[in-house]
Amino acid sequence: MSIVQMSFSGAVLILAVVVLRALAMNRLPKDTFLILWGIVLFRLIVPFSVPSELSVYSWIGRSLDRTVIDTGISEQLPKNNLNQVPLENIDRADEVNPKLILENDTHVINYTKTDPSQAVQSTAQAVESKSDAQNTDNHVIFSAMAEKLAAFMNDTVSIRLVIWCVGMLACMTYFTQSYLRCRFEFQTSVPVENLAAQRWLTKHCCRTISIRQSDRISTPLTYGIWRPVILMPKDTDWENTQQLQYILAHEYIHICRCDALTKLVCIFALCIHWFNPLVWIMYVFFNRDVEISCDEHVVRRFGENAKSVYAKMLIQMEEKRSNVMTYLPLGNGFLFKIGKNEWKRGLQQL
Amino acid sequence: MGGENDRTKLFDSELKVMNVLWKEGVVPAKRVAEVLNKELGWNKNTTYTLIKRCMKKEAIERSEPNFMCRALVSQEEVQEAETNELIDKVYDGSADKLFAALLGRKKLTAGQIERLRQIVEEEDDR
Repeated sequence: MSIVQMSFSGAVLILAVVVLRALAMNRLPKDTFLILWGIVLFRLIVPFSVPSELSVYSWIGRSLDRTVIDTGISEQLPKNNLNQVPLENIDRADEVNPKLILENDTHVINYTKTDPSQAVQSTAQAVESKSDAQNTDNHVIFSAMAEKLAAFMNDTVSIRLVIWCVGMLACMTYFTQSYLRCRFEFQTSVPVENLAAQRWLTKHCCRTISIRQSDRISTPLTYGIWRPVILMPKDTDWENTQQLQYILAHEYIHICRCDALTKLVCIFALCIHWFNPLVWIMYVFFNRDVEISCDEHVVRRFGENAKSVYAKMLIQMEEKRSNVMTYLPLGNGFLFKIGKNEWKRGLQQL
Repeated sequence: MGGENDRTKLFDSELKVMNVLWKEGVVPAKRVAEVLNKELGWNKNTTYTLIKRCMKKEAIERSEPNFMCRALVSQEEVQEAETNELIDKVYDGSADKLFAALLGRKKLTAGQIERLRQIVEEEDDR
């Protein structure tokens, strides 16, 4: 499967998740969206073809069918012919409607570049599905669209390839240098000799965590995949044990869920699909959802009473936030470069 | 005046480097890295980069051979600059308010109070 195809289907998925998010954000546990984004990431990075019953194009088709009364569009394709072509007769595809041949041909053309057996298999898959011919039609329509787009892109292969490589390298350079700069600042942090912190560490030893302090950040964050470090700002009130518990719990969830690794995967997908604006949108939403879901876990763990204290704490942090370290590609900060309105909305969700 | 202010505007991490030089005098950069590694867990690259940053801020002077480091600002100079900034920023430019705040903190030990009184008496005598 070509990158353009993956990007196209990824974009469709992203749109679906964004719509769902807009409609049902407050009614669903935030982990749901993390799982959905995970599926999107998988689609963007792993090249595989989904059988038409499971294809999101079919789902879109199914839901469209339920609402669209005028079936003018669906009648254009010869549903009957599709059902009547048995598996063994693939070779005599020319007996089928010409339009279908064209679509199947594009199917074949695209796949023979990579794997000939896949062509027959996917055409067979397209034909085989007798349960819901409409689904298959829609799958064929959308897949054909994606393939035509890919074929068009493939026409001037060298130029597009060069542009894509340049874009990808530019993105990787940007993220790498941003990460290195942050990492240096993090490395100049000092260890914390606070009793409360030490006690917390002995209770939570999932991997070798360390707590350090830095005057270069204004809100707590965590970084590091193999040896995670929780970085606290210099003016942390170590006496305020309640607030400390919440902060450390929030960062601990990031560490246990390997959010740093997931963000790395997300950035990798972003570098590959840099040309797709929806992937950038996904990146923004994904980071936001990671933070909001952590907040939800903390509140769930500490009870409803924690809500007001936690919310107040978030407000204080937003006020303190300086421009020094607001953008952390591979770190997990409390407020990960989110706009004021979105942040207020996040607060309301609490 | 602007130059001095720029010079002494050191971050915490750079002050840690300066501390080593203030305590041990003129030492090779390797020694600074050793001390900071033991004390704070910093690796060699981090310390060397910090030393170079201090050199750019004209707080450290490098001399060959052996990358010898010498502090160009004294600890007192830095302390005075930071205290002045604290007074101006937080205590409305009034040193009295800072003094009152220090006394008001219930964290002063008897020994510290005694020493403060001695300093005040010395000032009075002068």
